[in-house]
Amino acid sequence: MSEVTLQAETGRVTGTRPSRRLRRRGKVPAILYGQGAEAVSIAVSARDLRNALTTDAGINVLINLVVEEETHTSLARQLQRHPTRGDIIHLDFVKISLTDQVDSVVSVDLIGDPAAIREMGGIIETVTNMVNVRTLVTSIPESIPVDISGLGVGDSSRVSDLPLLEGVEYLDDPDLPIVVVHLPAAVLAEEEEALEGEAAEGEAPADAEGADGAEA
Amino acid sequence: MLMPKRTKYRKVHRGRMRGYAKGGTSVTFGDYGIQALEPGHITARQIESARIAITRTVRRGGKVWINIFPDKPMTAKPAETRMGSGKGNPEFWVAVVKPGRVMMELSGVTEDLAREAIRKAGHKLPIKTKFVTREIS
Repeated sequence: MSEVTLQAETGRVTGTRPSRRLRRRGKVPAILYGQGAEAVSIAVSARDLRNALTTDAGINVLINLVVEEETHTSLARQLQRHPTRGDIIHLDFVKISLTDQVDSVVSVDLIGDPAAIREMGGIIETVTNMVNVRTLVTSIPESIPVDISGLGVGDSSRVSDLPLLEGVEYLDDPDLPIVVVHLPAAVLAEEEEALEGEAAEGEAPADAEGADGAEA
Repeated sequence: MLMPKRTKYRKVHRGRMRGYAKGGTSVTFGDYGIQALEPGHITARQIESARIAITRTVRRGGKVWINIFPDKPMTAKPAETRMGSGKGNPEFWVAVVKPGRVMMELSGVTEDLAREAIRKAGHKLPIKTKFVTREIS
């Protein structure tokens, strides 16, 4: 579990225009709450925040937030991003204890290359690339490996097929598909055409025989 | 081409395209997408043209999703007609697109091929676009 330290400043003025001014100065407005404490409006450096959230742990990184010389262990949640630039424009820091169970979103890592893709030209459709898990704060996995090498055309890998990791509880519906392997529409159309062609070839001689019979 | 089956009113006001897209700003169905960077009216012909550009580039593989629908009728007056005499006749359909909107998505192909397909699709559209991938939110 990776940990980072982030400096935060308090006393920012809330509201749209002051927040925009903050962002122009390279800060990100945020809020710190949790464990029964009163919510505090804070601001963090955009550059430091980007570095903090781009470790292997992603958004589940444990953040030691230093606010007025006091350190709070927290997780970043409710990230709001700019629609086109993708910059974080606001986020929540939720205070946690290291013995807490937390709900988090973890990415799914697809491992292997199904034979259906290599041999039959199938495609993998990713229904979801993340799953909701409940774990101890200290044991949030970086990603969950899913072996898809054994999948054939029409097969799917579901939440119930995910590996059982110690201390990790999956919160999603066990029937929720993660990936589905199927043939692309173009291949299906080609197969249908081929079948129709074969059927037409099969019918033609029969008609000819019928015609001969009628003549005889 | 895409168009509504039936509508409540034949003609609608022109409207304004201010601000950013309110939703549909991330890739949700496929692995890659084409995102609008400017506001604009995308006609049904342009959507179809972009779709064909993508499917021809990816050839056999891949699956395409179209996330926008042209549900706004645009009117035009006949050629060599004097001004006045009321609003023209509905001629074509457009989708109102604001910056940030992921208009089409693609899956089942490599990233290089997806980039090429999205680049070609972008040339068929009247606005600036960019290539986006699915991310963990």
